[in-house]
Amino acid sequence: MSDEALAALLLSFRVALLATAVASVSGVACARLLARAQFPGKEMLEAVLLLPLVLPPTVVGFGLLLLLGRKGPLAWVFPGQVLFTWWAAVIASAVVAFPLMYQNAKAAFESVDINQERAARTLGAGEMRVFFTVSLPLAWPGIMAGLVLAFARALGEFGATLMVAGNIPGQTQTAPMAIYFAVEAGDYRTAVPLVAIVLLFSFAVIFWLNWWSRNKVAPYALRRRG
Amino acid sequence: MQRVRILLLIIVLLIGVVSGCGAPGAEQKASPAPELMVFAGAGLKDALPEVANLYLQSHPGVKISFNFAGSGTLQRQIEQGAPVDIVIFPGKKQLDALEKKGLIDKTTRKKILADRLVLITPKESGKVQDFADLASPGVDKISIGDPAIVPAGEWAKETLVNLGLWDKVKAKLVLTKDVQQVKTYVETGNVDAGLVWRSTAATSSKIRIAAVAPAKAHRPIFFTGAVASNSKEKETDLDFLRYLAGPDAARVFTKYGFSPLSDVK
Repeated sequence: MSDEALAALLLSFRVALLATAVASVSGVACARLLARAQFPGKEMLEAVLLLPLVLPPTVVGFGLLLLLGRKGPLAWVFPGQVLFTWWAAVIASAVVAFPLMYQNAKAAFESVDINQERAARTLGAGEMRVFFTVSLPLAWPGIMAGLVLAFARALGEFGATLMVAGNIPGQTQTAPMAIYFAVEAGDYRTAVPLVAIVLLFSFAVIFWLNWWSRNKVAPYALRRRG
Repeated sequence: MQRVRILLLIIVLLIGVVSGCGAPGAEQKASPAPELMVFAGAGLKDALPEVANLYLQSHPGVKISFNFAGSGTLQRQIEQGAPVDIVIFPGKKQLDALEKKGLIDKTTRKKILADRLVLITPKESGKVQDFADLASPGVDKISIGDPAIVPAGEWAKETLVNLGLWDKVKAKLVLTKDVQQVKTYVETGNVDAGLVWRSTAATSSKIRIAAVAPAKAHRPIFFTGAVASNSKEKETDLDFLRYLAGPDAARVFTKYGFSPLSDVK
């Protein structure tokens, strides 16, 4: 396997893991906050949060390009120019994966019996403790589903990433990008092994995530805690 | 009651499927007029439909549909059996590949128009005035199409190599999957310069054409059309191709920034 192809694979794994982490933490947090909150404009906010799911990835990429570009309103958030660096790839993947985690986590939190949380509070638990010992464990299966989807989406992200990170082999070229360009150029010798490895890796991660959730985390959630 | 509901749902779905499939079939039987499917490089998406409309005014009854995409994508689609009557590509690579596979009729290859390669910069940026400036340290990022799959990128690389700049600017290059993306990067000010066809640059008001690539720095740029081997409307195809290379079409193309064939040797 060529150096560039290997670099693309390693970059993809790095980007996907980081983006999934970012999307998951923020997704769970937003879901928890919005599941129990009521304020004017809530539906509108939720619709905005779900936009990256509905829009074509190239449109999401273009939007990020405008926001994070040299003349963009959010450019100040990042030191230096974030476009055409692998961080832009992480941002793009996180943005498209976020709605998947958010939507699943929200459904999960909404299905948690609010009386359990109330009971915990009457027993003196602070909000953080309620969250980590009651809400999160009870919502875990839904969050797990969101995690798997978010990871799959982040790993496969192509359109938006291409726009904001660009195709710079060795620096920002992810596996989906490498596969696309190889197929376009008729270079199946590069494309096929890449596809195979990405498939194997995705399969392994998702399989392990589901196994870990079923065998390790669910029992913890169901265990009685004093 | 539950079973009735399920039955109703199935009936509704079946109706949907049948009505969806029925319509185009019925259409085809009813119209004997020639329908041309044209696969063309994305750069022609503004000019070509206008030329087609002119053609249709003198040839009523003909129906022309377009599929605009990157040359690499079009080549793949045709290789995989996509139904097509006419293909129009910038450059020769994809056309030669299709000819080798017998997918186009090589006796019908016809040059349709010419173009030039230009260096563009964001409108307010004065950093780059000519090709030589690309090597200067103040220029951070330059965008071109990926030479492996984008004809404009191929020509960009050829020009940079012939101008002795390739090695100096290689590290600054951001490769894109089509020439429109180069234009977008320059328009939004995220790269300092880009290399695109003059016809691509002509459609934007947010960029400045800093320089035109000297003609001797690259092979001449032609858009070439050909008739697909599997086309069922060969006569109409040839007629349309001839029209595209003619003076009426040339006037429209020049309006969009292309060069008439006479400009390029």
